Formats: sequence, C-alpha cells, structure tokens
Amino acid sequence: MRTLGGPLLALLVQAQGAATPEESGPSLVRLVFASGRIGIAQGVLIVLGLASVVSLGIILHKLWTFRRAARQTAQFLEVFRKSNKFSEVQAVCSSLAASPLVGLFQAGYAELTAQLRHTSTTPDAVGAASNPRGAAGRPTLKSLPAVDRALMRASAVEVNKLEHRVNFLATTASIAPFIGLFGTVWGIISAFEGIGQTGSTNLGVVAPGIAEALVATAAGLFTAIPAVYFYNGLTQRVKLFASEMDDFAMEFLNIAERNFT
Amino acid sequence: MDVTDVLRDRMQPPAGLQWMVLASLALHGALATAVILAPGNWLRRPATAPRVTMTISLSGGGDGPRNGGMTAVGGRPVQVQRPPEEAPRREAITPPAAKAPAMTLPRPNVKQTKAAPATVKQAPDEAKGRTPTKGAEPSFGTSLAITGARGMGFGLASGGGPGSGSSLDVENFCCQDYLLLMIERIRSNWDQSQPFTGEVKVQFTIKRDGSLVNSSVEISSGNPTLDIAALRAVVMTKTIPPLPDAYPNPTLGMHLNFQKFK
Repeated sequence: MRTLGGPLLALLVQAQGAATPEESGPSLVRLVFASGRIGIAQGVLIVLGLASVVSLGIILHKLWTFRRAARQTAQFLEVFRKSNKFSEVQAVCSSLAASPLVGLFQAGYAELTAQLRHTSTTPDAVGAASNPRGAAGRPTLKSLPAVDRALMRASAVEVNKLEHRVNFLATTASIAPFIGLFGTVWGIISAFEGIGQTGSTNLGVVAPGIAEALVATAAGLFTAIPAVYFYNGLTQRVKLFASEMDDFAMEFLNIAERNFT
Repeated sequence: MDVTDVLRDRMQPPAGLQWMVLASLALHGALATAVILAPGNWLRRPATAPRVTMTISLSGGGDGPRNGGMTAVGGRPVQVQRPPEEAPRREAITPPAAKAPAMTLPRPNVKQTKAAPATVKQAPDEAKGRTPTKGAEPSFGTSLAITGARGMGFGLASGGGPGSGSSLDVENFCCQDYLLLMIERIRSNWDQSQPFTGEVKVQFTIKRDGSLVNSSVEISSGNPTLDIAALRAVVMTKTIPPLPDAYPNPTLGMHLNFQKFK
C-alpha cells in the first residue's frame, strides 16, 4: 500500500458515502443513510466499499501488468532465439523489462559474466556457428550449477513480483462475506431491539430494519464475488508464467552448457 | 553487475497501481451514481392486483338444521310476494297529428281554419299521473342487522325438513349480496337429480364484466357424474352481473364446493 498516496486515501474516504451502497435501490440508499449517523451497519458498508475499490484496483492493475508481461515475453523470446550473442539480448532487456524472463536472463547473464571475468573474455559468442566446438581460446565456465542457482533465485523473485498483492484478493474474498454477515446480524439485533421497545410486531416496524441489515450481506457478496473470480484467474496466470520461466531456465542452461563447457 | 544487484533491481513492483485504484474508484462511483439515479422500481415487475379467492360451499339435498324451526336466516325475506300478473293494456290508437305546412308565406286574405282537436280516448301513460299502488312492491328485506346470523342459508327454512343451504366462508369480501346472487344463479343451473352423494370443488374466475371463465374441477368427488354436473352448473351460468364497484380488483377467484347429500 506504499504506492497509495495520502491524497488517494483522502479521495477514497471522501467517496465512501457514494461508493458503498452498490446494489440497492434508491429506497434502500435512503434507508441506509437516512439516520445520518455512522453506526455499525454504515461502518460495515464503508469497510466493504473500501475493500471493493482496492480489490478492483488490484485486479485491473494485475490484468494490465500480466497482459504487458505476456506481450513482452513473446517479443523477448523472439529476440533471444534469433540473436547469436548474449550482449545483443542484454541490449534489448531494458525495453522489455515487464517480461519475467528478462529477470531470469539478466541474472544468468550476470552470473556468466562473473564466472568468465577471470578468463578476461566476455560471454559474447554464444552461437554454435560463431563459436565452433573445439576452437582455441574458448572461455569455460567454472560451475554450471551456480548459473542454475542464479536462475532459480531470479525465478523466485519474478514469481514473488507476479504474485504481489494477489493475496489481498484472496483475503477480501474470504473475509468480505463475513463482514457483511456481521453487519446483517448486528442490524437484525438492533431491529429486534426496536421491536422490543415499540412492542409491536407490525411488519412496518420490523421490515425496514431487516432490509437495512440485509444490505450489508449483499455488499459483502458484491465485494467477494469478483475477488474470488479474479483471484483464481490471476493465480492460474502466475502458474503459467512460472512454467514458462522454468522452460526458459532450461533453455538458458542448455545454451550455456553447450557453449561454455 | 552482481546477480544480487540484478535481482534487487528486478524486485521493484510495477508502477501504476494508484492509477488503477483511481479507475476502480471511478467505476464504483459511476455504479453508485447509476444506482442512485435509476428509478426505484426498474428491477421489479409492475405490480398486478392480487387475485382474491374465496371458498363457498353449496350443498343440496340434505336435511335442514334441526333447531325447531328457528333457523337463523341471514337477514333475507324468505319469500317474496309477487303482485298478480296484470293483463297487458291495449294502447289507444291515435291518428298522427295534422302537420303544418313548412315554410309558406302567409297569405293575407285567407280565412283562418281551426284544426279539429284530436280525439283521445285514453290518456297516455305519462299524462295519467301516478298510478295508485296495489300493495307492497317485491323487494329485499332489511333485516340484515337484526338476526345477527351471517348468511346461513336462504330458501324456506322449515326446520328439519330437507332443504338446501350454502355456507359462505368469506373473510372480508365487501359485497355479500353479490355472492348470494351468484350462488343463486349457479344453484339454479345445478342439476341435482343424480342419485349419488359427494362433494365437488369447482374453481373459476369471475371477470370484471361478470363472465365466469377458467372453470375446472379442483377436487373431484370421485364420481364423474357429480363432477360434470357441478362443472356444468358453472359453465351454464356463463355470466352474472358485473363485479360490484366496491370490489377493487379486476378478477375474483372462486372455489365453490358442491355438496350433494342423500
């Protein structure tokens, strides 16, 4: 939440009165906010509205990020498979930084550079054509497992980055219905208190309180349902990216083994 | 550049979350505005008037109540006296009145002629004035409030003898007269000559104009003859007077019990 600036939070708080009663008719809007005071039920609605706004923001951001990452991954793979030198690939990395494979490549490249530095050669020549097997002065790696470990570290970092804030959706999805239910139960308790005070079981006395209470459950479900849907979808996308990264790591290791051992 | 430096660089989460949250806020605001500005009943169907149903039992052929002839009659005169039928009076035939010629210029030298007054042998009805009455006109009695009994039967209550009655179980229907009229009409079309006993429940709907529609046997007696007779009574009645104005709904659903005793 560090990126949410102070002004934004102020905006959120200001907009709560309008943003919370998403699914009720005007009569219910009037019903919920008629009393003019912020009670438990109104507080529940405000919390749920905040959670809904933030989770929808995260959903939109993640969808946008993943879409960009997928597009740039395709471009990166194209460049990676066509070029003969790692330095060429390294040059385009800054423009395709959204792709998780770029992180893997940069980590592997850094490890390769560090290992080959003492031989005073750069791992520029990677292609089989430009660096035929058995040629003289050919740089060799000290440890291929070290490159593998660097790739694994990078992979963990990239997966963490992809999963960043997705768990907020899971939390929202599981908690929001309970918050709504809490508001409903509280509202019904106060409705029955009202019945006890007036001593009347007239439907006109009972119904508004219960209707107001049920708005909270509806708001909880309204918040939770998109969160569940997109949590599952985004988790699936992260798994796809992870398998893509595994695949790339194998490819990278193969090239490194072929050319530097 | 070390691997760790590369990884540290890569750890920065992608920017742009705040813009997405702002977009989300705008979406929520738009939704809330739409909900607030939308008419309150856009989800609900237009309300239809409630269908009122009531159950009425119509029984025939059984014994009357055993109460020593003191049957509580629901405030209705048990017999209606009819005035004797009067032979139709013959109308006097009067010749048409002489017609004055239209639009002629008056001639100064013409002798005025007097038209002979038309001879009238018998004055027309409207000229006669009020006809003296020949006794009480047949009308419904007004003893409704006196007996305290509600709609327990009509017809000649003679105590113990075979009679016919009906029971009304209507909570708060405005117009009991109307129901009695309906039952009378239906009963007059009910053929009770079958040698069977049983109970048939027939349902139908009275429309605003008084037509009886959608009639069907709701609970069969198990005897098709009785079922058909009861259904036929409703179908043959076809129309009754329109629903009273005091009754607000467009239709009135009815469940009529036809009880046939020995």
